[in-house]
Amino acid sequence: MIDTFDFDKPLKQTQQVAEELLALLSNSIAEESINSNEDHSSDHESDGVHRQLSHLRLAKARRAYQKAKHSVTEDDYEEAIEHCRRGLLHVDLAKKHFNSNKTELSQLTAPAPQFAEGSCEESIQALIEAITKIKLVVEYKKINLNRRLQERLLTVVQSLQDAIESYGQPGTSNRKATKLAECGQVWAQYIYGHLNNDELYVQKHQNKTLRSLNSFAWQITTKFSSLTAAPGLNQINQIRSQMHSLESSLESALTAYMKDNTNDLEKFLRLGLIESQALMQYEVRAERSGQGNKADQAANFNLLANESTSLREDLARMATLLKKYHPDASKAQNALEKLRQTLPQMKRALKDEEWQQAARLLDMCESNAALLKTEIAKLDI
Amino acid sequence: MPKPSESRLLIERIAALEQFVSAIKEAQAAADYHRSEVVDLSIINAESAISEAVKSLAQYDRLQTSKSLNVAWFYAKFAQDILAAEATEHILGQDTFLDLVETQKHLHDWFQHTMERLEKRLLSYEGELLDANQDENRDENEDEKEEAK
Repeated sequence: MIDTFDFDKPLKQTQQVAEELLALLSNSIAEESINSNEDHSSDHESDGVHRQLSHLRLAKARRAYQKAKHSVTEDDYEEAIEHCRRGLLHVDLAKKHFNSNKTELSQLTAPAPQFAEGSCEESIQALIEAITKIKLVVEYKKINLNRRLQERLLTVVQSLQDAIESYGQPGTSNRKATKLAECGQVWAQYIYGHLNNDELYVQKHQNKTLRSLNSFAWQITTKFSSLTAAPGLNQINQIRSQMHSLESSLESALTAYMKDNTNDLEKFLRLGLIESQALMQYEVRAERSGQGNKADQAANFNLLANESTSLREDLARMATLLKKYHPDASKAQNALEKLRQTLPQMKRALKDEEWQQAARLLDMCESNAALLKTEIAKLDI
Repeated sequence: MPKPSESRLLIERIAALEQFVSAIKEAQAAADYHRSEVVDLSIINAESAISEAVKSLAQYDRLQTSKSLNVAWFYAKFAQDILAAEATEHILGQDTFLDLVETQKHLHDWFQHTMERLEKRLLSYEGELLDANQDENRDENEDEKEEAK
C-alpha cells in the first residue's frame, strides 16, 4: 500500500484529499503493525535493533495520524495533509527497518555521500578527519596537552559544530559554514604541527588563501617545535612569548579571513612572517652553540606540553567559565574581579615593603577568595 | 524497472542513516572503557537532523532534506571516527583518552586546582608578611636591648 505512494507528487489541499490520505495512513499503520506482530512471533528475533527502530517509526506514525485527524476536525486540510505525509513517511521507514538485517558498526558500510571537490561539505568532512587525526596522535603518543592547546582544540571542535549548524540552517548559503570549517582546519594544522611536527593535510587546498594560512600555521609550529627540542636552550620563555604573539597574528589573520578583509589578512600574515623571522634567530643561535641537537628533536618536541598557564591567565578563564556555568554569576564575578585587581597590588606592596598596605590587601584577597570558593560550590557542573 | 523517484531515494538515505546511527549508539553502549560526551552529543544531533529531514520531505523541500541528511551524516561520521579512535586506544594503548569537549569532571577538577593554586599564593604572601613582621620585631627588640645597655 505505502510502496506505491508518490511522495514527489504535489497534492491539492482539499477536504477530499486530506480524508483520502488519512484513510491511507490509518490502513498503512494497521498493515505494518500486523506485519511486524506476525513476524515478532516467528524467527526474526535477531533483528533487535531494527525492530526497535521500526517500532519507534510506527509510534511516530500514530502520533502523526492523531495530529492529522485533529486538523481534519478543525477543517485545516493543509496541515492535515502535511501530517499525513509525515505519517506515511514514518510507516515507509518502519517497513524498511523491519525488512533490513542488523549489521554491526564494524561491518557496516557507512552510507557516505559523494561531495564535490572544494565544496562546503568537503571542508566540513576534512575538519572531522583533522580532529580525529589529532585525537589519534595525542592518544598514541600519550601527549599531555597543555591548557593553551587544549582550549584551542576545544574551539576547533566548536568550529566544527558551528559549521555544521550553519550549513544545516534552512535558506542560508554555505559561505559562513565553509569559512568556519576552513578556519577550524587552519587551527587544527596549528595544533597538529605542535604535536607531530608535520603537515596535517595531504592534499593541497584549492583555495590559495587557505593554502597560505595552513602553510603559515604549519611553518610557525615547525620552527617552534625544533626550537623547544634544543635541550639546553635558555630562552624558552622568550620563545614561548614569541609563539603566543605569532598565535595572535594567526588569530587576527583568520578573523580578517572570516570577514573577507583581504588587506588585513595579508597584513597579519606579513606581521606573522616578520615575527617568525625572530624565531629563526633563536634557531641559528641554538645551532651555533650546539644546543639544537637534531637527533633529540623528534623525541623532545612536545616540550610545549610542559608549559603551564599563569594564575593570572587562569583567573581570567575562571571569569568566562563562571559566566557560562554559574546560575547567578554576579557575586562570584564581583569577588573574582576584586581578586584580579588586588593580587598585583598586593605583590607590588610586598615588593615595596609597604607592610601595612600589604596586610590590608591580603585581608581583602582572603575574604574574596573565601566568597569565591562558596560561589564555586554552587556551580552548575 | 522504473527509476526510483527523488523522494524514494531520500527515504532510502534516511533509513540507511538511521540504521547507521543506531549501530553507532550500540557500539557506544558497548564501549564500557570510556563514555565519550562528544559521541553522545553527536548521536543526539544526528538523530535530530534525521527528524528534520523527515519533516522537510513531508513539506516537499527535497533540497533541505538532503542538507539535513548531510548534517546527520557529519555528526554520525564524527561519532564513528571518535569511537574507532577510542577502540584503537583501548586495544593497543593504555586507555588514556582525549576528551574533545570540556567534561564536567575536567571543569570540576580545574576549578578545584585553580582555587588551591590561589590559596597557596595567598599563603605564600602571608608567609612573606609574617617574616617581615618577625624581622621588624627582632629589629625593635635589638634596638631596645641596645638602648637598655
